[in-house]
Amino acid sequence: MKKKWLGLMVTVGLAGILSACSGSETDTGTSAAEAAGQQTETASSRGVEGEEVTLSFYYWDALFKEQIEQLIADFEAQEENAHITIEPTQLPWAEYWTKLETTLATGDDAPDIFWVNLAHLIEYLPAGYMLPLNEDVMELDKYSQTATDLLKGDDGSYYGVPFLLDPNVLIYNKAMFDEAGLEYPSEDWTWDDFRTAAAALTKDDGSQYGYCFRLDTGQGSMHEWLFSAGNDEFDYVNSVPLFAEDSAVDGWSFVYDMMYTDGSTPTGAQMTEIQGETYFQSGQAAMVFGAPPKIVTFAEALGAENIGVSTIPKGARKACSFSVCSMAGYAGTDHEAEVQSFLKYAASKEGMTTLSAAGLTAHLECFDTYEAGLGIDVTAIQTTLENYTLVPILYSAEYNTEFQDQFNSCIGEVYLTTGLDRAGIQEIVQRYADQCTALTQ
Amino acid sequence: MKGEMEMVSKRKKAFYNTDNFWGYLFISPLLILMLIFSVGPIFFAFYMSLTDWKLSGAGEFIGLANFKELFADPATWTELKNSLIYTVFKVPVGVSISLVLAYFLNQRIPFRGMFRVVYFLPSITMTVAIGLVWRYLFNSQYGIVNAILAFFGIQGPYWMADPKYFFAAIILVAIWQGIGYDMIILLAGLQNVPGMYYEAARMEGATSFQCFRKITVPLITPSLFFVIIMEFMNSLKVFDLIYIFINASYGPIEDAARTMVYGIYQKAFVHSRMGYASAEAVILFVIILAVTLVQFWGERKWVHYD
Amino acid sequence: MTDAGKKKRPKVKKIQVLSFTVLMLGLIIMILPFLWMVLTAFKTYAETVQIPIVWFPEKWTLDNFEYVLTSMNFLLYYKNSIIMVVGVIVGQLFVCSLAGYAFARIDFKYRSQLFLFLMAVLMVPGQMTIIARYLLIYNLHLTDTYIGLILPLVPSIFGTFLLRQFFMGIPFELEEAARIDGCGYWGIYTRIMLPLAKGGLVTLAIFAFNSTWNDLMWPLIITNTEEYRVLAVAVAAIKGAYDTKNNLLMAASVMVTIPCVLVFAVGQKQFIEGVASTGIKG
Repeated sequence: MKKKWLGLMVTVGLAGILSACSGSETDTGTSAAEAAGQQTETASSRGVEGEEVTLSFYYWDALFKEQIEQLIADFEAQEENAHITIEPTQLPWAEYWTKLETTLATGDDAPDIFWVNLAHLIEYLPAGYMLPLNEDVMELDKYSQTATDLLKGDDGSYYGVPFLLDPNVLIYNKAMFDEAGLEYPSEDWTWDDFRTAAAALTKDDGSQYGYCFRLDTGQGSMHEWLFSAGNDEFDYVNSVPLFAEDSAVDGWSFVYDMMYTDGSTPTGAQMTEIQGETYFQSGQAAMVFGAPPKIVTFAEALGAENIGVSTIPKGARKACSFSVCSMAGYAGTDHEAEVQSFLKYAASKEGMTTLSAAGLTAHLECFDTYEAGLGIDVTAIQTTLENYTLVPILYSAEYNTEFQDQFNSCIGEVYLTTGLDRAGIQEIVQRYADQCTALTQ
Repeated sequence: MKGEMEMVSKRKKAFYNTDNFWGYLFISPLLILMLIFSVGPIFFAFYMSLTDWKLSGAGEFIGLANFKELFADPATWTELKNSLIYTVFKVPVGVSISLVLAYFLNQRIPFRGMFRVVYFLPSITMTVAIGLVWRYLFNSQYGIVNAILAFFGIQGPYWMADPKYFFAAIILVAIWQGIGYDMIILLAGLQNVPGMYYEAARMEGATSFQCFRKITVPLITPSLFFVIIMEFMNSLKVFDLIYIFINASYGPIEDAARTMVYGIYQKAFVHSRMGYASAEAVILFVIILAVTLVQFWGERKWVHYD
Repeated sequence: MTDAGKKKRPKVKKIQVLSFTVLMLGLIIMILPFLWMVLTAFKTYAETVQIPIVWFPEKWTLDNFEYVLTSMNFLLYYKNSIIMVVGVIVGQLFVCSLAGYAFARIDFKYRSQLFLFLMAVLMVPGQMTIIARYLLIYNLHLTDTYIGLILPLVPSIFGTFLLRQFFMGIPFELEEAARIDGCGYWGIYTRIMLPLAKGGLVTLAIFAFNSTWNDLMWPLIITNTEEYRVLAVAVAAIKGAYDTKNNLLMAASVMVTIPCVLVFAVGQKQFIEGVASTGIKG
């Protein structure tokens, strides 16, 4: 009797392995995109009107929690949506993509609606994960075209609702300008105006810098200098590095000179120890570049009355980086109709106004709501949206993270090496550009 | 396994009392759960290493191509080298310190409970807090590390900006953080050392150091063996601390501290190349297996049970 | 059961002085990050971004705790974490002690081969198997269940190996004596081995508690709904894409870490020199 039992247990165990292997292999064997495609075909037939439907919704930003819940409540309160329940899950930012991609691997367990940023959009769109939106979901003329263009697929459909649009701006500490007797940065500042002011705001004893550069690849770091130098960094469609071109070297060396000639920004070595921005937040630097969400954070650290906002100084052109976050539907959802109607509600002026309380939306009529919520004069953001060339931070459609790694290392090497001249800088960036090119061959 | 079953059934009469019956009965809960939840996924990972599976596409069988690519990539060798350097420093230093601390924490001294808790704290402090505070302690201008060096007249480096020192700093923090866990296992192991052994040794005039070396160490070799095996494995698989430190740093510094699991993580979850990542995991597996087998082979030479 | 150490109590040994001194010296460096974590929970955001670092808050504030407690459903997360941890500890103690005993003391066929095979499982980095494990749990319809959270963490090779080492250190004579008295393997396991390996069991429980309590990846991947969210995931969700408010993060971290400290403080009392074994070897 006991022997049989033992045998049974072993069998069950082995069966477990077999089922595990076969189950998983099937999942790899079928392309996720294919699976998604198949499901889309049946989706409309499955979404029967009137049936109780629960949609899952992944997003990452805790700052938006209240607004997302509000948006969902408003949507569910509408009579025609009485049968829909939306379950939002706020996930940790650092693990968001791991979690999302893991569920995308199964297909069935993936969220019906999810947030996606630019860097992942260019991966997910060709992979077929995202649901093409019905034409009536988004009123295109009400949206920033810079944002919507990025969401347009090859078939002409749009694949997401851009709810968040973050162009980069210059954020400054008013008290320091007052103390130095300087005028606040104006919207037609050039690079040289910026450099002069930064030098004037720098104190010799090291207690105050005019500017704090950032040694990372986020918004507000090297990108702003390269973009306004007239360089696009990468031709991301064809995966070609451009950041070693002559125009780019202007940007690289301009910052280098501020760092090592003027001393108006902390050195690379200093910034490996303390993140550039911290100098600004602790009241030891007068100017920093950052995306709009930073304004709120900086105001909390320094007091809203001390924070001023202007545009990125003009180099060869008026340009800055920007990012877009979108709400997308999952192509393999079982409830396509419901997903479309939720996205339509979210994309409406009413929906976007709700979200505007937490951040700047790409809906052009919501700017006032956003500004009113901030309590800081941010007309510079509007100027940027109207007059600036907005360049997305995109490295490559195919070698996205690989190129980003190279670019990241390049920033590090340039600004951690002392005693470089223009030719020296040129040599370093060219080396990294060559490595990018080598990756594609 | 199958042969085992047949063999058992031939000796039907004595079955209830055989060691085989009881042995397999006792390990069966573990074995069954293990087979279901771990072994299957591991075979799956091994299989993946032979495919070009990316999360967003079909995985095709490509034979050993992943391995060829890995061996040709200089980054793999950097990661392997770093993992080995990390292990070579972390294991002996960490285990020695833990052993001495466990011995100290087993003495009858005032505030012993408090000391034990404090020395365990690093293992339960949030890794984020550890990364942040230690980065600050290594700060060239404000940090305590360079202040101490300055006291001895040594000009401290920019720990976070120089690749060499950056990695050294991580290893130091790793040793600091790992002490707690090793210490507990050794402390628990010390409970099996009868106090009378020390009494006898003292009668013969042995010093504390002699007692430690001649009595304590030999008698806790089973725990020590465990700690060393696990330390080797975990060091070769180190990830968390590396991730925290690298995430907050830039440029060439990153390469200086990339270990194998960091590379695996990046390939799998950042570059979405599951197949390629699995291949590196297989290489790491083979290395750990070799190291562990050597240790088990050496077990009887220095580990005393009973 | 004579406690040899007690007789000597009045006399302070050199080793005790040395131990105390060394431990005192190391105290600060061991406690510093933990201290910073606790102190930061009481700071304002502005104080967390100062250079040089601000150790003590100028004005102690409870706002961070208030924010964390009101914006998140902490009671629910505690409940889920406790269920998960208790399940894993009970499961591991049972499964690992049985297997650990068998590997230490029962001479069954292929014992060492099987043991090495199991050890090999430990050698594969978890990052590599997490997706396959998730697919498995998903196909068994165990996502968003406690069973799915707990069961895969129960078969711990680490725990089995740990307890095997402890069981191997227990003298054979005791087992022989019990066998002569008519004890079977089960009797020896429950009446002799388990009580004598208390140190090992406590150690395993402490380890299981900490690793499960702080585990982020597994519960994150295996659960979707708020209903099954555990503390570690909730805390990680405070970190934002743009900024992390360390004052809030640390307030939440403190609430997660305090139970770990308490569990350890209680657990370590089981480690009392000599008591466990003086009776045995004599």
